[in-house]
Amino acid sequence: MHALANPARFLRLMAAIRPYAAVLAVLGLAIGLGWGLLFSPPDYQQGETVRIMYLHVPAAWMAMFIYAAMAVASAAALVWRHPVAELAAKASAPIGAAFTLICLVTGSLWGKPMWGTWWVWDARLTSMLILFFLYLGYIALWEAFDDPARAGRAAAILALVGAVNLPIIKFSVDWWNTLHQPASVLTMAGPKIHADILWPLLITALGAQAYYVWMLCLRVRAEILERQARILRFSAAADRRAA
Amino acid sequence: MYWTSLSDFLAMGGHAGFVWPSFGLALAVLLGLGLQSRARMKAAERENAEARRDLRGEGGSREAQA
Repeated sequence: MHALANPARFLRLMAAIRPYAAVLAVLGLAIGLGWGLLFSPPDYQQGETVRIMYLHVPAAWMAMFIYAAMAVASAAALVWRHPVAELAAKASAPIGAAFTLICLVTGSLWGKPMWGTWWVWDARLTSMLILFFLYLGYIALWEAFDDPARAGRAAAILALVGAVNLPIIKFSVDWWNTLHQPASVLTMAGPKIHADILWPLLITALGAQAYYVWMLCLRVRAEILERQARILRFSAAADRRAA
Repeated sequence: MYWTSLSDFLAMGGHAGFVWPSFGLALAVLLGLGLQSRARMKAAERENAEARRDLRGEGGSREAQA
């Protein structure tokens, strides 16, 4: 029963956060994307395709942020055997994979009219594709073992090893030649883009972050309740054997 | 408002075929994941409640035997 006490507190916390995250996600995404589509100006070089940026850039940020969160939670799970951290990492993976998919597809749809190609095998695009496969591999590893303890450990190790890809993604545009433009928001000198573009971008990013928290609340709850149910059934079977 | 007409807005400066699929796909992915996450949570809640009910039921019957 002690093992359930901590997750129970975590469940209450998530239940309290959930409605706020949901409202913030819907408002942030609606206002940010609405602003980006309706009010923000076109780019002087890229024309209207620049509106794809309001999806592509927050999706890329979330893809990397969620992976970083997953790696940190996996480290906590490995070091302290923290069951909630492990389940939070597991619950994060599909959300991160979804954002990575959005990033890759919108990038491709943006690349075709602007670069003249759907895809190039350069460092930025390739490392982002690897991130997508890391997410899929992580999800697959969880399914590959019958024993959740072994599955969790294997998946956590993959998450940690794969974290080396994050700085490669971030700095790929500086280290290698690429069609992809370098950073223009998260730079040492501050954002290099105009406020009319920066604001809808940041509001969309906030909405995307809230969406992650919202989905995390739903999915961690599912993971904890499933694991609890498995423990209850196991102890019921043990009682039957004892009786 | 940046746009002067709805048809301008829909045409996206001739890039409608790239802008609108981007937004459509993103919306579909986020919505789909939302629905799937919600369905998973509901299924887990049912499974959990069932396991608790079964455990209580067995405990009760064992007490009755004793």
